Amino acid sequence: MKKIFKFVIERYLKLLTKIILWRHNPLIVAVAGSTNKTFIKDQILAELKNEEKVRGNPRSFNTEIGLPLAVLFLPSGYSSIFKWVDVLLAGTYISVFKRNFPRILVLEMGVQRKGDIKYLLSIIKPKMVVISDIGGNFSDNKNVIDEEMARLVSAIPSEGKVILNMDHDRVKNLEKYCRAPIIFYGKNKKADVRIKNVRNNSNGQTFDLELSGRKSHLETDLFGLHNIHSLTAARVVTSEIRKKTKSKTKIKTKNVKKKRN
Amino acid sequence: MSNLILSPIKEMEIRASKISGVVSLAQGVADFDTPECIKRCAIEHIQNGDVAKYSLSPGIMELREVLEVDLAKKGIYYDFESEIIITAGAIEAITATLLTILNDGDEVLIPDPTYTSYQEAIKNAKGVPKFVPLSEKDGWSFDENKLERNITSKTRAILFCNPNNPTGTIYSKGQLMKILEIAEKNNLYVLADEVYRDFVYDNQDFYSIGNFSKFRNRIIYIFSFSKSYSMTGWRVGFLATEQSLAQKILVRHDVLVTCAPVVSQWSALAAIEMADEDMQHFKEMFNERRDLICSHLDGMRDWLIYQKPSSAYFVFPKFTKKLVEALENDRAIKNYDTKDYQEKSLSWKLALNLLYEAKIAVVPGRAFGKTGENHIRMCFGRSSEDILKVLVRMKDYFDKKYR
Repeated sequence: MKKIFKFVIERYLKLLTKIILWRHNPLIVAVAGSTNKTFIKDQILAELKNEEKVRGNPRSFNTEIGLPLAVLFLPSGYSSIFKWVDVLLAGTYISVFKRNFPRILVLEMGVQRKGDIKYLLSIIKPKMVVISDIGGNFSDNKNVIDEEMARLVSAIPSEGKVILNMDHDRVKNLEKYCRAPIIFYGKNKKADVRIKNVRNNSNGQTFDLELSGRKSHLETDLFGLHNIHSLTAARVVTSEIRKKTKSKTKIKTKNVKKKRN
Repeated sequence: MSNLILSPIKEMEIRASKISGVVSLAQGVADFDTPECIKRCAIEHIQNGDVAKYSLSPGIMELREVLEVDLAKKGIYYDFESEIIITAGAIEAITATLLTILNDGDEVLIPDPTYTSYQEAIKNAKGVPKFVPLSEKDGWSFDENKLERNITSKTRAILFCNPNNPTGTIYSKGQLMKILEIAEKNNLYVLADEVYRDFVYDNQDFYSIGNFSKFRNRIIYIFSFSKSYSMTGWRVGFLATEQSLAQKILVRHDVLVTCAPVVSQWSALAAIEMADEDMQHFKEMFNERRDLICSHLDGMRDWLIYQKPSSAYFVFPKFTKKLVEALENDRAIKNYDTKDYQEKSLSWKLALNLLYEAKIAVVPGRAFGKTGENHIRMCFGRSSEDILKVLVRMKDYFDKKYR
């Protein structure tokens, strides 16, 4: 009974999501990878909030049910049938009648097992994807995650953009599956967007970034190279979004202290 | 042969388990079950086949990443990839750290009174615990002069819990700063177990050791999910420290447990993401129970006096002169299959009398250090019914036996 109920909710939410995306056709940016998705997404949202009508999904909303809920901007009904009825009614109204909708959706895409990406791609069609890292928890699921990520990048159309972390071998290897142009970022000398001069101190880290021919010096109170990768990935995405949406606002590349909160 | 002894808290629980009708306020365990959202998530991961295999030794990445974000919200910054290790509870974090940083005979300073298992964890790592008495009259605060006086060429670390168990008091920002300055001056590590950090009452400010990033190279921040999310049986916690030390501790952690229980790691992730409301509910309930236990202790002033705890779920009442005199003349302890050190301690005498004669379990204050003598620890994490039963039996006992 529970399985049937879940199946019905999944299918109905999927239908509603397809309708709303067909009506409004927003630019969808997918943020994928084993970790750092939430931070990258939050950074993108923070950088764009004053200039674009943009929305993202809450952290745990990146699954078969969570992703449609995020697109429709609805809460979960959890294990309550009554709450789910409310959610589905509200979803129907939003999907069919509501006029306002964000121009850009930044969505985390979580992968845990084979087939996850196929299902998520049957709901949304991202034009841009950023992949931060791939690192399995168990040695025997490595290939599954790589295959899922390959499926994701290969689904980005040639007019889109794939943004990959060049410092991670498994991410870099996705290059061969891409149809869309790739932007590599990282410390690697061949990266299109280069991270240089990473330094640690007791207050966090500093680093230099070369993006679109401009250099900037950044500070963060977060530790770990993955946070520098994430800040860089977010910068690359926002830069590309601005180009796509022809925003007149120039990217800020002065000294900016990044804080998580 | 090992010179370790079983924690007196566990000894009291084992003794209590053999006597019918005992009500226990001994072990620091809440009466709440683990929140539903955590259990649901655990079941889902079991059914999905996510928990049968080891995780990476430092723990599942998803949990470590969320912990990094959660700590950052509290102004504590660590890199999840190289500086956070998921452990089998706080005690495994402490054990792995001590095994890493201590050589035979190295000394570790611990407050007196403090959590009983620290002494044994230090001895287990071939170290020597050295007690630094806290000042009861100043709200069980650290005396920096006493702390410095106890430092020798063999001192390697300071280990404490904040909020403190058994006193239920918190160390101020100024005190923490002093401890860290002393540690810096003498090149010591500072291990801070913040397992009760989420239960601070009356809107008091709580400063974490992790907020002092200037000293991050010598801080080992330790937390367990046991108390905040009523998950004592799941055995999951974590430590965070600067990466070069973290990588050395990881080796010990791997030797000890390989990895924390994987089902518990996924459950800890659910706790952080979904169980905030449950934790707040626990805190409200503990606050009510604190008032309950304190109001009844007020009615036993002839025997016990106490400082109202500002945090955790323990009250640590002190014996009055009248009770001390009564216990000095009491020989009943001879009947209880005790060891020498227990017979010499008034707090052991009272705890065992209460257990065998009044059928209530509390922990003798001596278990927490010399300064804890003439005190008992009572846990108000248990249900209101149990707390009431204990208090009624205790008052009856005092009235009948010592009045």
